[in-house]
Amino acid sequence: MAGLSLAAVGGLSALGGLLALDQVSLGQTMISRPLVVATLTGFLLGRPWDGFVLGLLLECLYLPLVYIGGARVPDAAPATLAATAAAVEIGGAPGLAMGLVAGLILGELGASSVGLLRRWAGQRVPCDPSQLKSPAQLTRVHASIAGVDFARGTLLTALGLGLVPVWVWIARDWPLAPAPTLGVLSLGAAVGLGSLWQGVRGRGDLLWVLGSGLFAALWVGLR
Amino acid sequence: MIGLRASVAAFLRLFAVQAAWNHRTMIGSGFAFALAPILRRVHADPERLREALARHVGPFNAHPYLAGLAVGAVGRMEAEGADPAAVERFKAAVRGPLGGLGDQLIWARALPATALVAGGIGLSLERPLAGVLLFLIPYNVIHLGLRMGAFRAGLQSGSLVAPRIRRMSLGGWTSRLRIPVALGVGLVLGGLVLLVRPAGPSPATLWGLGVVAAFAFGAQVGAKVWRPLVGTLVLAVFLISVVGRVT
Repeated sequence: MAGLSLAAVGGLSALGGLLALDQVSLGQTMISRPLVVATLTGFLLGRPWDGFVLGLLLECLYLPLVYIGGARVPDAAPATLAATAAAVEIGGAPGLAMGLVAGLILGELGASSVGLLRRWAGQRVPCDPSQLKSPAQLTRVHASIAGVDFARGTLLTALGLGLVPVWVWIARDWPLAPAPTLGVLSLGAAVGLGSLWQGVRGRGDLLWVLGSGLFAALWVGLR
Repeated sequence: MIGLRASVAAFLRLFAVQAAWNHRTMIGSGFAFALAPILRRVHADPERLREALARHVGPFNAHPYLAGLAVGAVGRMEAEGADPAAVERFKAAVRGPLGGLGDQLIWARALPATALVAGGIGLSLERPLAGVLLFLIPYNVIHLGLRMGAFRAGLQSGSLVAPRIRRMSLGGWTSRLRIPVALGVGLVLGGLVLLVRPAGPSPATLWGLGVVAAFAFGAQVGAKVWRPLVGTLVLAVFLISVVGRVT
């Protein structure tokens, strides 16, 4: 990536690994959500607003997915970090478009790596009483699986950062003006938001709350 | 009987209860890992400790924020010398409710509510860092409150924890949280309409109406649209790039 030193790539990759841990393995404080990761990365790279918008667009697409048990869901944190780096490098609306695509593709790649991790973990953990030799074995198994999860997140982030020049190259002759570009992205995010709404709306009794939110946002934003 | 030190150690280990999540035992070994400090306090003899721990490595599942309720309750039962078969029956009885209630309350309500309200406010006010803090602080107040409340309820009540779960009224909170989710959806929808403003009054209005229509479409088809939507978005961006190259 043209704009980042090797040390910065290493630091961001390690950050991606730490954020990946928060998703499932450790804490689940939601610092790994796209809204947080993208804004933080944007802030570190000097463009917090771009990061925030990208994070919110990704949230609109990811929030309808409910994270139940072994459900295969996108691996958001490393993907969002690398996607935000691409968005910042390209800049403006084309950067957001490429960042969104990078985030979605890397998120799917990450989901596959999480699947592999879960299968490997299944072979490492003691499954019945006879397989537990000592209490320390449990601590070792947990630490080693969390360590591999960290390495997985770090590698995925590094891979994503390595792909930034590819996204820059694809976006080089972006033909659309900012407004229609943001329009296309907003349409996609709105469909995602609508699919989330389907599971909440009940018998339509909350439409007035939704309307209040819509008008409040427009009123504040247009002032 | 269990002691503050063992309780705190078990509570802290609960933050890693899913570290070894797998399709064979789910959070089974995480359950045993979190329970270990309490069992260590109960069983001084290493072989008895190993045997007690080994009884808990089998399949178990619960929402990670509510798993503490089962760990606390089982810890108390073990400390009171409960029959292992009764402990197993207790675990089998609570795993379904702790999973279902937690998934609905947290993943389907609290997370979208806090993320969307904060995101919508941040977008409308153009304050990204405020948006992130408005998400993380309320969410983690709920998260940590639930983790602590669940673990404490389990430790204090043991196998008689069911009335405590009912008093926590998790189902009621799940229903009440629909209101902030709806507010957040409205705020973000308004924010998305505002995003297309640079086009000027007339095209911006058209894009804004398009955004509302896309929302209505999503509300009609629901979550099954997810994969086609993502595929379409990726394809659209690539096609636009190709058009830019060719023209």
